[in-house]
Amino acid sequence: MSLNGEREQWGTKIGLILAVAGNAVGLGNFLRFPVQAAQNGGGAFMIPYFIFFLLLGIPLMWIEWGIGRHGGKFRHGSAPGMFDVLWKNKLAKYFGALGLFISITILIYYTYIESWTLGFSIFSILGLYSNETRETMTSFLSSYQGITTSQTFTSIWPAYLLMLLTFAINFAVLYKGISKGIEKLAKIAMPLLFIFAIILAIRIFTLGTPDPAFPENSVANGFAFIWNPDFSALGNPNIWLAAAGQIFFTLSVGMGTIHAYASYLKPNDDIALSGLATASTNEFAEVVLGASIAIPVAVAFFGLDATKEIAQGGAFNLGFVSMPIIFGSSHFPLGELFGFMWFLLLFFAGITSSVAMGQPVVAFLEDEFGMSRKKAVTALAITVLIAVQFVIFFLKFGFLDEMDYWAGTFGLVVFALIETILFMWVFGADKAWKEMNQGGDIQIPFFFYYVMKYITPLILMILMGWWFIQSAIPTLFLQNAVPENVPYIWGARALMVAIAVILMLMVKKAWANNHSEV
Amino acid sequence: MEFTTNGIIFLALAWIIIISLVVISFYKVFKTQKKN
Repeated sequence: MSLNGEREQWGTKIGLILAVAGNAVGLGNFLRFPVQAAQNGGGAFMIPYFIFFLLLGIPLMWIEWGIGRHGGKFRHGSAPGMFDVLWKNKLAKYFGALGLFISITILIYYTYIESWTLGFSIFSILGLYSNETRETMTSFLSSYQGITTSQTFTSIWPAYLLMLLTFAINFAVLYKGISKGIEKLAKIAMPLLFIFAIILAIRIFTLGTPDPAFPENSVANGFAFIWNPDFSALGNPNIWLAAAGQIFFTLSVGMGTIHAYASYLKPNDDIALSGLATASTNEFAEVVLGASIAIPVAVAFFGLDATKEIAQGGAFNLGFVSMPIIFGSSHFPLGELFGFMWFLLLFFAGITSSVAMGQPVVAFLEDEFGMSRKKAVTALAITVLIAVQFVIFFLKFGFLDEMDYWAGTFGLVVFALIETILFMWVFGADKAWKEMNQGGDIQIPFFFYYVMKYITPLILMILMGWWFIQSAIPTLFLQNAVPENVPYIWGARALMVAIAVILMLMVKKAWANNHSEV
Repeated sequence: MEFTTNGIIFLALAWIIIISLVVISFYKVFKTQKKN
């Protein structure tokens, strides 16, 4: 039983860094970031982006690594136990349950989206799409999702089988454990992801002007679209909030996943340098590679105006509609192969994140209920497989979007604010600072002591307040909801409430059991 | 839309900052890993 047995450990430091970087590098690095940059001032967006990387991203990384390793000393691999040792209050563990709620809720729908990337990589190599238009590719995607039917897909079953395969791979990795499963996956998937992304970026750099009949549609103009700075945008507070939001999402903070990984460190293992290395790796994937693929090639193929329209349509539109049209075009030689690489790199980005989302609940069941890893993973797999049915079959009714808003957007900033206040104010800034620097291969500059104590929570409060007014209230009161979707949106809310209540009851039971044992 | 000098400067600066961070942090990671 894990309550008394040895806790697992990471095999190597580089393996841990790749696993945490894999958690951070996700679909958003390649799809969300370039759209955000292009829409919010181009090169000028990078000014607030880097400022928030320093004041929000890196500090939160260190805070989460610190809370995680501290919790691991007390044999806690999930947020309820970690918060309980930070704050000697009966409520602490229930705040920590939010970390479990967020990670399992995102896992439910994220893994389904991840399965689309696996599916599209197979469709690419099989040449299932070629010479498509935006209309036919939109129809291809919606028929694959079971929303409509087309000549290629007459039912949802291909998507369903690929979902099962993706879940099987995820749970097999979790089943194998920290070192033999998650670390091994990261050591294979992360280098491949970077190799594929570099090859794609080089190919796109060298595309020039794919159709000489339209000389203005070029890769150089695509880079200009992302990077030419519009300094007037800096006077708009929305740009600053967009930059803070992007930094927040890209590092996968506020989910309880980094804590879980860091809990398997030894008390004197470094976290200062590891946190910096993982944040830097994520930025390399996002700013250097993510900005060099989808948007530049979209401008080269569709032109500036159409790309602006595509960017307005969101990340899925860019990734699953526009990119396949480009790879299926006669102006993109070996498009099947490059399409395969594009979707496989998205799959690697997805799976290294989704296994991280499964780990907090697995650690919770192991550490607080004494379950074996195999039993814990089986329990998680059954729960997630039941819940994902609603996401798959009610996709067109906004079920996934509702879960994504409350767990994957608003919930993250709430959890990040709670953990920052608990660590830097309740546990104490001096103790927290000592914890983060213990065993460090670098000394965190003292400037960050004040940043973590004052500036990071302040930015989080502003972000939370802004999103609450701008989107949480309208979403809560269904102001923009399609009437037909309303019952399903309430269904999604009921599912999330049920997950939250069950997790709270489990936390209560675990603490009741453990106290009676002591 | 042409790629302006300012655009090139922003791209170059962003890349230099990030690549330097990656190189320095991983250099230190490998160096300390060897020591241990």
